[in-house]
Amino acid sequence: MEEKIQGKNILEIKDLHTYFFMDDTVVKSVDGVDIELKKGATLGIVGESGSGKSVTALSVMGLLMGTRGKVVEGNILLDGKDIVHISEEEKRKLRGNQISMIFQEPMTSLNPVMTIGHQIMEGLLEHENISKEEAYNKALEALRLTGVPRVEKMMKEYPFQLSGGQRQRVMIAMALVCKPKILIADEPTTALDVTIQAQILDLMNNLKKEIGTSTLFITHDLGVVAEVCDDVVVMYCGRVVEKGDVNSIFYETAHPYTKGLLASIPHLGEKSQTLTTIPGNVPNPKYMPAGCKFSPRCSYATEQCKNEEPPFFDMGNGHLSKCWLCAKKGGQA
Amino acid sequence: MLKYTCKRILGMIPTLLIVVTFVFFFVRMIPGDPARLVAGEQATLEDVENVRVSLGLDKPIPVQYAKYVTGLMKGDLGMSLRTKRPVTKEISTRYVNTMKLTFISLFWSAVVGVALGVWSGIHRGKWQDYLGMAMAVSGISMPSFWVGFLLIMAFSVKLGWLPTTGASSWKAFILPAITLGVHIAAVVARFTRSSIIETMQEDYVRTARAKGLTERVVIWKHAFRNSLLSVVTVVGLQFGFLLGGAVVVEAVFAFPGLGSLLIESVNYRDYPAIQSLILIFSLQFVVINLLVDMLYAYLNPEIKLQ
Amino acid sequence: MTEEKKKQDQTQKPLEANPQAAITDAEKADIRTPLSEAIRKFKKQKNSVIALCFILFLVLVAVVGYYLVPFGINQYDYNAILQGPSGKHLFGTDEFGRDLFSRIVCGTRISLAVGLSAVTVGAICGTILGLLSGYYGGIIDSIIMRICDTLFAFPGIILAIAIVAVLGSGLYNVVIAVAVFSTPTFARLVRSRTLALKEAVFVQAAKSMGASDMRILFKHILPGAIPEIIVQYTMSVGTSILTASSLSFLGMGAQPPTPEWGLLLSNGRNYLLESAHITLFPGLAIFFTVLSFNIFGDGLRDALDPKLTD
Repeated sequence: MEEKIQGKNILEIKDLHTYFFMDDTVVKSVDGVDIELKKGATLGIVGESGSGKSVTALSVMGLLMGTRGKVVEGNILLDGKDIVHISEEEKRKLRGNQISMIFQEPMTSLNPVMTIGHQIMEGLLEHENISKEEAYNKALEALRLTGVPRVEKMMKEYPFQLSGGQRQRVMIAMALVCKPKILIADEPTTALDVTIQAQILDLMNNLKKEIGTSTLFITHDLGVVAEVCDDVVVMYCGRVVEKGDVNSIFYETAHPYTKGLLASIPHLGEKSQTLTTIPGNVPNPKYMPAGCKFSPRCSYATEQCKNEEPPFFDMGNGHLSKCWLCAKKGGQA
Repeated sequence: MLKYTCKRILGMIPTLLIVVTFVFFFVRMIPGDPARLVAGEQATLEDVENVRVSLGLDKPIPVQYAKYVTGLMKGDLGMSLRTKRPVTKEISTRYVNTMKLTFISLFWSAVVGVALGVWSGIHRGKWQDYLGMAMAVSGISMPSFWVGFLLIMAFSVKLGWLPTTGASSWKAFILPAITLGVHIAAVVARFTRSSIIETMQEDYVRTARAKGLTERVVIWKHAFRNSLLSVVTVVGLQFGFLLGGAVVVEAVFAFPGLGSLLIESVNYRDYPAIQSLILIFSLQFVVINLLVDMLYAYLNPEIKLQ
Repeated sequence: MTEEKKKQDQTQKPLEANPQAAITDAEKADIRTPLSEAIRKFKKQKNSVIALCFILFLVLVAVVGYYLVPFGINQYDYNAILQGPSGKHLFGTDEFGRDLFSRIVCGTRISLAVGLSAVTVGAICGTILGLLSGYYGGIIDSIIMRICDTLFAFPGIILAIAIVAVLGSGLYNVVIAVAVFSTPTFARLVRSRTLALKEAVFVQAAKSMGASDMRILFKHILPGAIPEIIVQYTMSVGTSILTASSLSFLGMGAQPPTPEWGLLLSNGRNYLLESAHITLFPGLAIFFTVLSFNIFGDGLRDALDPKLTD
């Protein structure tokens, strides 16, 4: 496969395998994933619950402690440097500093007994050698950037005094205060009202332009992907099934699963009686089907699909799809 | 915060009244005639009657009650039937001793309990957890009088390092304080462990780690700081156990405190003394609960800012 | 049922998108009920299983111990005073030459009987009070809770001492005393469960079908509180045995020559220097008994806790 010439990759995930070692089984949450994030771009990672998208993010951040998960194989390169096979201490220095993450549940992601200001300053004081005053000012600025009114007042408040949207803005401020190279956003708007969702997405778009952070945007909502993402990776059962730039994915869909996801979005103005769904359920990780993992639910599945796992087929322009049907459509393995 | 405090103090008063009344009537139920006890075996019926009048025991119950309550408010706890001295005098030095003992025990057991609980909790499932919890479950299963004797045998009898009885020097407080604190430390350790396990799984701990903070900061400033609220409550509740345990421990070590006084008074049917002691124990408990509530309110920003 | 499902799947055409086929046969065998889950989780905890075995062993000792011990519990032997442990006297002898081992074994029945009966009475009273208090609310609730609050204002042992002071010493009164101070704990517990379950949909459904209050309380709400009651019961037995032996130690519980463990220990205090075994063995008996109840209770609680999944 040829290297992309335009845009340097700020993050490269190569053949990542993250497994969870339970009492009686091993759950292969991420089982061979390759993802590239170009500098300054926003990459959307799409999939249903259980597809392994969040675990991929946690693997990048090194946040698997306290769980039974471990990166068993693969490499993750941040700006060309390996961030998997380094010490815990080195990983810790990267978190919040060069890679930041914001999470889905703003209501519970802030420490209830610490002031907002203190929580934003914490990361700064840890990673940068500055005085408390400077940290305070930087925190203030970061908060101001998120568009929150009466910033000084909020710095002294506690999370319970803030709404969901405000808390998410605080999370964004906390994540960006050290000016990280990469921001990982794991379903940041899912728990918020639709109107607030729009505001937060706007905010993230603006910040991207201002600060130039490369973003990994994890979501199950294709509508959001269309709005904010430049490139897309579609995940299913711990694997990537399709990836490419946002236009290729939306207009030249090359995988039945992605097709199914797109088809299930209800459209205004359509007169259909029933909503289209993808039949069946995501397989239980303990009982994975053989061959292509999507075959049990796929209406185009053939015998080959049920028995052999397909390789990636290149549809041109960096658009890849993991489906036997692509061979017929002119994809190159 | 001030409003909250006043509300709580006011709420305490009905409970106190009920406790006082309860104690008054309860003590009257103890069998035995105090007048006869005071007058002595040889006394004639007339003498006993005289004693009864002088003790005010011939008046109707409501009158006795009124006298009791008014006396309480003046700080008069009555006369000990056993020693013929005011109860307040009997109590004064012993009160100080027991209070010293209780607070030393509470302090060390809270510190050790919390440390052990956090250590076990953050190493959940590993050998540190098993060891810590084995120690804790043993601690709550050991009878305090047995622990006391074991310590006496080891440190006083065999090694001669520490005194067995009394409250003469600071050394005399060591063994009783250890004995008294063992159970509490164990309870606090168990509770702290489950609390820290819970808080370590909260989302804000994940956020703290995502910010790249050191594990020590994550554990203490984020997880534990949130556990602190409930740990404080538990420690406060244990105070009640401490007071009760003091009775047994003081018996073991012949420690001159309120507990041993209670035993002597019960054996002698010394009404005024029993009454006052039970009252003191419960009042203490109620006051400590109030202080714990206030501390909780102070530590919890949601209440503090009301 | 598994057989029928299997047949059903096989008749479907393999190439059609068939949602049912997505659930494999292996998964179907894995379905679990809450009770089997609880038992499975309990069995995993080796400590608790061992503790349960020890408790059963103690019950056995309590029942047949009297008939199997080598010496009588009051068998004086002035030739064998204050002897240390030996082949003849496993735990040694006391100041009257009585065999300590026999006395301790016979004491098992006493401690278990006192512990279990006191907590049973307390649990029953507390549960009834809690159900009434939580379900009816209002004045009944206020009164019952005030009583509980007052009882809680007294540290456990102090309350027990006070009750024993009124009723007199002796084991029956110890049982009553412990039952009294255990009651509020159960009352509070059951009350909060009742409050939660009162609003549950299945209770509303039963009500709408005309079920009487008593029926709702005992057939619907009580079963929901049983797991917590059982766990608390086990933990309370430990406390109750400790309290009973403490009272005996203070001279307010069992009276000589009853071989109650706390009493045995208090006999030994005069002989700490030479005959430490008189204090050591009864204490060990109390310790291991209470320990096994506590470990068993812990295991029960972890097994019944819905939050603790794999």
